[in-house]
Amino acid sequence: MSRPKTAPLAWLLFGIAFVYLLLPLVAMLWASLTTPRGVTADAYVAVFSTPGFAEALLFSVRSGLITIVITTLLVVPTAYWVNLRMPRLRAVMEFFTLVPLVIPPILLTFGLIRFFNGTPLTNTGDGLYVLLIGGYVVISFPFFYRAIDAGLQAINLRVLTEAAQSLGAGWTTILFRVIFPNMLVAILNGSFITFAIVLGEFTISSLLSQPAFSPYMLDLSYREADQATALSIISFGFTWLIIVVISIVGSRRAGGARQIISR
Amino acid sequence: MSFLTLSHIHKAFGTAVAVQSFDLGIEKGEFVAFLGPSGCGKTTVLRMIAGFEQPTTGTITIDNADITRVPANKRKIGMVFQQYALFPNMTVIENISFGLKIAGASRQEMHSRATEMLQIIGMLEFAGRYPSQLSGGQQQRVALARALAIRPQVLLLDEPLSALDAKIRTSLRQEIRSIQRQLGITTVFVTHDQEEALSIADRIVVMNKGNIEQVGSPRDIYNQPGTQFVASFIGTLNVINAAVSDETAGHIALDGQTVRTADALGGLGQRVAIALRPESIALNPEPNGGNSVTATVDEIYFLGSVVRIRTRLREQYLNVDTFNSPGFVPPARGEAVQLGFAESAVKVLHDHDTTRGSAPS
Ligand SMILES: Nc1ncnc2c1ncn2[C@@H]1O[C@H](COP(=O)(O)OP(=O)(O)OP(=O)(O)O)[C@@H](O)[C@H]1O
Ligand SMILES: [Mg+2]
Repeated sequence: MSRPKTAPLAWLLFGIAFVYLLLPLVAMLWASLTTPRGVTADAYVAVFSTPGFAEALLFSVRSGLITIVITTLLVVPTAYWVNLRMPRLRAVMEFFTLVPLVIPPILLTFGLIRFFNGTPLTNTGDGLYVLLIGGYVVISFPFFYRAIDAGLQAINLRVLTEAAQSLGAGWTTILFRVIFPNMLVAILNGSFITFAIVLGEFTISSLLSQPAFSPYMLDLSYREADQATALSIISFGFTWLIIVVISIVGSRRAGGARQIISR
Repeated sequence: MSFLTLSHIHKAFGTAVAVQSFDLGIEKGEFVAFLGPSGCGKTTVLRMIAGFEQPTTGTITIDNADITRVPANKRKIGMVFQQYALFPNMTVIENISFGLKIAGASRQEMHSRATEMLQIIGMLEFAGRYPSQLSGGQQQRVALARALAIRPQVLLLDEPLSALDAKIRTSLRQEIRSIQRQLGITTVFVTHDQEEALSIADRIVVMNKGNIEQVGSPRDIYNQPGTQFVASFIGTLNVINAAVSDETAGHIALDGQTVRTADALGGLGQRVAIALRPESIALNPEPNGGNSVTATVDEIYFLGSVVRIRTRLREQYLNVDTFNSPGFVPPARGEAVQLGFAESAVKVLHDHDTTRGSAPS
């Protein structure tokens, strides 16, 4: 496939955007490396030995993965059914995907707390964790849904479904053997965003007093500013690393799907 | 009772009627083609047989069992779609094995059946490819193999060749027919291509606006079109309007020139439509007691082995086909010619609207 020549203007805009995004990172990197004693990587070494670091990171990674699994299981069948049987509901679903974007997380959290006040969901530690995951699912839903919806639009849903049916497949078989595998790329796209959202999420986890990564980072910045900056850099790199890992694993499994794209 | 029967099938989408009073019996091992223009309800009937649509009223039986309310995935009916419908995430052999896996076949059974299917479609060496690495024709062959692997009771094909180019279409339809014969599977093939239907079906069901117009062998449909619609849909026929001049003697007038027909004219009224096959008309024949009319040459089309001459009576046109033999010298445009044809070649059609004689297709 031959790539069209990119206009100089496009490169210029790309360059501006790139600098705009990169500059804060460079500034942070600089700040974390310079100390009164000169340029050192001390902060980076110290971060890893700070008590609570590994726990906070693991907590968020685990929560991210749980959120991804739950969201996938909720969103893929829903989006599938809407596209297949109730295409007119697509507009309604699109509206629903806007709701979490316009409701501030702080409202969402207070809403959750008030609504479930006095139930085990707010009285126990496990309950709060369930609320936290629920909140994560809600805030990542818009991005996830749109990724899946776009993916479903790209395949011939009805024909694939009917082909599977005529071969004897029931709904679960169709979902897990036909739809999920063909949605892998879309699910991955949704997962990246979800993962990044969960790792950087502050409001909900902090209000529910959950030992997540972002509150930990804030806490650290009060005590050790350099380390906190170093940690931001690390978490940035870490998020990217996870995304790359997921995408490598995914693209290997989605061999068939990738061939369609590369054609 | 036939193997597959459709009785009094009626299907409406909201207020729009797609199929009405559809009655058809298909024998075991028979190859039936549904032929008709776009929107006439071919796909809808097929989808009701497959179980993707429910008839509004009516019943469908296979092998004497009523399957009208049986869900699609419990019917054991193989289907090949017009659009490419292979699972993109699976290789050719995985696609073919899909139905067997669901049916709970053992690994060994699955492998041997899939291999057998690959052999039948002549694509053994493509087992490991993904659908995106196949041509359109190959994909449809795999789709056929996938549908046949589960040994379905009935095979349904909805214009499986329409996305392919002309050459592949011809060879693949012959291949489909020979595989169908080899396996003896009861088959319904939907098409809007008359040549396709005529060349491969045991029987053709001509449909129009949700109704069956005529059911018959390709010969019957071609030689004895029952209605004006059938006659004009089977493209090369001349369909022209005539005035009945003597009902009992079988005399009718084509733009003022009287000819005789062997068909009965009783009770059809003053105006009828008749069909005349272009190849049953002779150009400037020796007088032999048959019908003869005078016409003017309007246009000449070379179609390869056949030369089609469009002639004009007064207002209506008659196409005449002659073989393009080496010594043949076509008449000039504007020349007056005699057209001869037998009484039996003049087919009276049993409904009459006023469609003009069809131009060459
Ligand atoms: N799901 C549906 N909802 C509403 N109307 C429908 C639906 N499916 C088919 N129809 C209508 O029923 C009629 C018959 O459609 P059908 O698809 O059976 O035609 P067809 O003979 O297969 O045509 P083609 O050769 O174009 O495929 C059409 O008028 C069509 O608009
Ligand atoms: Mg159709």
